[in-house]
Amino acid sequence: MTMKKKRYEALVQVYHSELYRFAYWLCHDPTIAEDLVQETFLRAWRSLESLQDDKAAKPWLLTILRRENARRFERKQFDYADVENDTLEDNKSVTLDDEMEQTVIQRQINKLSSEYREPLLLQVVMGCSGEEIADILELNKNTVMTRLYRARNQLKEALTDNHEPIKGASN
Amino acid sequence: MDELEFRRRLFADPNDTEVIDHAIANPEQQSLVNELQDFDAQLKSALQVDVPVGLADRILEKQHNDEASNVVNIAWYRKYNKPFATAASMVLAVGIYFMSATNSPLQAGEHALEHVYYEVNALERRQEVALQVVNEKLAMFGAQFDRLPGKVTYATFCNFKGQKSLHLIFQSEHGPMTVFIVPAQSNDYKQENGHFSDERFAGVIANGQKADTILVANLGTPVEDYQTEINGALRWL
Repeated sequence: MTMKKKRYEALVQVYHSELYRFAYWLCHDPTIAEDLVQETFLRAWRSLESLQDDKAAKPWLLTILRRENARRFERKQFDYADVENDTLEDNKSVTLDDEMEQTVIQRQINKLSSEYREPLLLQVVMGCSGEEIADILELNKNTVMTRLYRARNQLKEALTDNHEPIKGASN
Repeated sequence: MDELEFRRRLFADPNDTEVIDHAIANPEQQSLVNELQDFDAQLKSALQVDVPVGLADRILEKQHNDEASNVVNIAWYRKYNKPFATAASMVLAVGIYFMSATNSPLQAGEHALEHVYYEVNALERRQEVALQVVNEKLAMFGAQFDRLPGKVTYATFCNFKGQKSLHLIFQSEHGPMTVFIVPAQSNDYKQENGHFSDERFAGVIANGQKADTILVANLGTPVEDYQTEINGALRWL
């Protein structure tokens, strides 16, 4: 196996799950999410030489994925009017309470405007640093941190005001 | 770090080590740090959708297929197109060199005959070309005819051995007659004054000051007489 292939396989193994989850929350559709991840990795393979440092792989892959997602909208404007109902994910092996709680959280995250939601997804799902998020979204870091602050603030308020069952929210 | 900044930074990133360190001395802040970290764990857990089974394998398979589809069957000679193109051009260059070095240049008479055969259909034309039209073309060379030795049926610029020349055909008693008027500045057959012929045509080359006139007519035509007449009528301005 060539060096390039080894390097590529390592990238796939390390990042495919996180990227899938991020893609899922961008498009709210498991099939489209998988397509996005497939396309992202294929493009990554074709231009792997342009990735100088493997430490920069995550923001690099995310940039490709976001571009792919944007292309999807150029091709066809999908109708996500029902997005909140579409995204009630069934997570197995959790209790009913937990399940309800997660559903409520998912719904509130989807209610965030995309400028708040996307940095939050990058931070929580992808584990990106403020600098990386700023890089990916082409914003300055202060803007990113402000949006992250507001995203959590809004989420916390919404989940507390509704008296939704949030474990440990005020303990 | 004041309370407001602490709050903003904690909400922006509950794992910010500076913020966490800052909260150690303050139980209230410490409690908020724990709260936000728990909250983040909840968010993470809510966002933790199942990844489709076998996704990594499918990604790698797709890459493999992509790579395979890029290996197109190319004919053996196409795989080496660059060296082959170079070799081919060298062969061509060498070939042209030998052709030019070994073949003696085409003689002007032969060239004239060839030219006549090439445009042999032009000899059949009967439509008259006016003297004025002929002179307009001749003016390009700085010459004109005072009169014509017969009815001109063809008058066009031609390339005569790389030289722009006027190709005329006029009708004589001896049938159609071809005249090439080739400006003298750069032709390479100065030494070839005289006659030439083949089984059908006879011709004569006359070197002039400003131009050579080459006359080609049917065999048996008194070409010198016509040559003299033409050169007499041709006036250089």
